[in-house]
Amino acid sequence: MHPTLAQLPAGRTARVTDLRGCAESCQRLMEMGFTRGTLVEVLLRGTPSLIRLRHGRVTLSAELAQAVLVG
Amino acid sequence: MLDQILRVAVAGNPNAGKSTLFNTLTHGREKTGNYPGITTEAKRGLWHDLSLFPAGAPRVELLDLPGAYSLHAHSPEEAVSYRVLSDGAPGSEAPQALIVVVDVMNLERNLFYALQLLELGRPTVVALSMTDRLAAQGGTLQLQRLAEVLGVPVVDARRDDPATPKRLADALVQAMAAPGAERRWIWPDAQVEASFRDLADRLAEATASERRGADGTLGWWLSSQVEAGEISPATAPLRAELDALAARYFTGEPGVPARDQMARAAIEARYAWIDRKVAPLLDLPASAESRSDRIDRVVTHPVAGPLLFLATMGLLFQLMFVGADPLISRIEEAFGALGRWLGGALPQGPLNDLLVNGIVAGVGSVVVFLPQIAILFALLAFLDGCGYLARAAFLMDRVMARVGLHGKSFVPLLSSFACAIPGIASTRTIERENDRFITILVAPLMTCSARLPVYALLLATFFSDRPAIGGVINQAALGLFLLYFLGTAGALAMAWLLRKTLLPGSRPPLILELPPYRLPRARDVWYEVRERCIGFAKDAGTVILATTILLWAAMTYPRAPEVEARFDAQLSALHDTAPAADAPLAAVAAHRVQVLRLQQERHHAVTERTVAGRVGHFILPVLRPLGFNEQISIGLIASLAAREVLVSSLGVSYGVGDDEESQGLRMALRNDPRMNRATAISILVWFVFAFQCFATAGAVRRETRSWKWPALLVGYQTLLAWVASFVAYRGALWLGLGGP
Ligand SMILES: Nc1nc2c(ncn2[C@@H]2O[C@H](COP(=O)(O)OP(=O)(O)O)[C@@H](O)[C@H]2O)c(=O)[nH]1
Ligand SMILES: [Mg+2]
Repeated sequence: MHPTLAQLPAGRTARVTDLRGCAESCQRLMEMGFTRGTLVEVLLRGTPSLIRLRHGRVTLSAELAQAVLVG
Repeated sequence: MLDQILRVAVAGNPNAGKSTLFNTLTHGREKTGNYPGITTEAKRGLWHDLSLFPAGAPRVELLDLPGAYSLHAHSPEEAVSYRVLSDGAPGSEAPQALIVVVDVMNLERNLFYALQLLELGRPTVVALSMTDRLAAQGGTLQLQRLAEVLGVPVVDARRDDPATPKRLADALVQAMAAPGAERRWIWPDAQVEASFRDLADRLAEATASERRGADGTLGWWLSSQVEAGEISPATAPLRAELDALAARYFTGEPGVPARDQMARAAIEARYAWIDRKVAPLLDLPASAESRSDRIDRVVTHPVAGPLLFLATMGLLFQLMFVGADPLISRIEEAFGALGRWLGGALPQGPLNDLLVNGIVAGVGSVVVFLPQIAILFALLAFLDGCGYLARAAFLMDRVMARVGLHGKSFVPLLSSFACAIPGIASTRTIERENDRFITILVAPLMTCSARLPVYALLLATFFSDRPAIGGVINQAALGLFLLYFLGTAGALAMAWLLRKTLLPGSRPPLILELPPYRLPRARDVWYEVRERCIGFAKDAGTVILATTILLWAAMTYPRAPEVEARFDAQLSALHDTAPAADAPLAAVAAHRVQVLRLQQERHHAVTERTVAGRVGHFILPVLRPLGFNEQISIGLIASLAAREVLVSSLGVSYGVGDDEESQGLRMALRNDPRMNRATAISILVWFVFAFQCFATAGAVRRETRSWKWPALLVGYQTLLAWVASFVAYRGALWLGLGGP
């Protein structure tokens, strides 16, 4: 089982491997760039967490960070 | 040809620079009048500099669409963009061409939406914003190559370059002249693509008569039919075929519906295309984000962040009050003077009364709101342009989560400190309906500027001369703070309650982009403020004016001429017995008191017989447990026009001046044996919670598209106000505040 984005410590970089269990929101996450293979960096962990991806910064609430599997 | 108009939509992600470009091209000259189907949500304006286009070219009308991340709309604001762009009904005013604003500093993510828009197959220009930032950070973009890859003109549209409009105009002419844009598609697999293309062609046939947007552009079809899941009757039979196709090709993940897999595949295919074709054209040094990152390290810091946030909010309120105060009194004076002048210049009679007490007073009570609204929205526009509001939403998310809302509800509630109406309109960024409705329903509890004159009058009258608590804390100032606190706490508590009962839902998931920090242009802030003020005057102003006039009539009719005549006779008799100027002071004063008392009696006798008086009398038994007397009861009815009207209404009913500064009204209130600190507290608490603004109900109706929610708003606010006032009044009596 892959870890989720919510489990990554701040400062860590990883690649998105999949999105799980958030139907509508997952689609929005993907539209905003969280596609498989995308490099993401955790800037701040918590509720909400702050993620850098594709030259931008996005904040996610914990449920969503848990939906992003990384590896 | 001459009065032909070319409609061009400016679209792109939030914060890409759309409004900035729109303002540059139109010189901020916004056209009023509505776009069909949408009301005030998308701004329109004419391209200012016609000399940039060839002679005889049609005029260009620009449409500033709300930002969106995808044609598949997740929020009402995105839905506006989708509706405009997908609208292809014959004779509609759908845009004929697009300017897609793409932030080069966020190229890949901006291009996702841009690709969807290109798939619409309309003539399109890609306008690159923030190229100045790119250059400043030592980055480069192969612009020519990008244009070749995308198949449409791409121009550098940086904000502060005077040549930007010319470049865009040329590109627009070029895009319009190009033969029908090539249908592009993104499926990596040729067989998949062929199947979908076939289906798309048939779909286009089925819908051609109805929606021009579907003229064979697979992308449009995919965006609207697949991603948004929207079906028109004509396309319903094809839906089954679509499902069959999806089931055939998208079965990789067991347990996930094929349609969802297909939608995801469409998104991934676009990003894959961007990564392959576009990413190599951009050379952005790795350190490029550092400035915003450095600022964010402080702004989003767990300790420093909230402190900075509190300081910012404190400063915002300080500026709002300190800045607006002198303007507000200036406006009140001016309208007072205008009313007196008109009242004197015109012959006495009902028309005079209507003009002075109905219309001038009504317009005045709209205009007094403008200083605070203008200042608050100037500050909000500035903070938004900087990128701070997104951080504030991020910081407030944790607090809002406690009551079941998320950070995006913060800005609407903040705006409601000036006036709930623009606050309610700004909930359109909230995705889920229940979350949005909760925010709309509690926004009117935030302390808007209309409550302040009432707070000021009662606090100054009953608390400012009390000894400071502990020798330092002024009781009136503390009272004001507590009233603000009570309103905010009430709003949060109601949000929690609504979430638990009528509008259930899980904690809304927050996805919010934090844009890089940028300094906004003064003129963009100014345009925004102007738009807000005009919007307020139009939306709220008309309702406030109408209610003021209606209530003026209710407070005036039916008239009782015989009662008036009787009192007038008594008054003139009293006048005749006035003591001489050199009479003893006590005699003069006693006579003066007699006159005042008689005037008051006259006023009571006259208003008692009016519609408002009767209603006030009728509801008095309900309000008596709260310690309200008949004047207050009638004043509450009058203040349904706008809360601050209570002050002038009390002034009139006590027969003194109608100005909150006036010592007369304060004296009269203090000398009224039925008034004391307990009743004052009760009235104040009433004003914190009660429904008192028809304009707000109208705004709620517009945003929720139903009368159910405004009805609920009126109901719960009234009930809450009654219970809270009752508790406060009884509590205050128990504390011994019921005495002089
Ligand atoms: N440096 C720079 N800033 C820009 C440029 N275009 C827009 N901005 C700034 O970016 C911020 C967001 O722009 P705005 O037009 O409000 O974005 P919108 O959400 O797409 O309407 C504002 O502070 C603008 O002044 C540009 O080309 N260069
Ligand atoms: Mg904008």
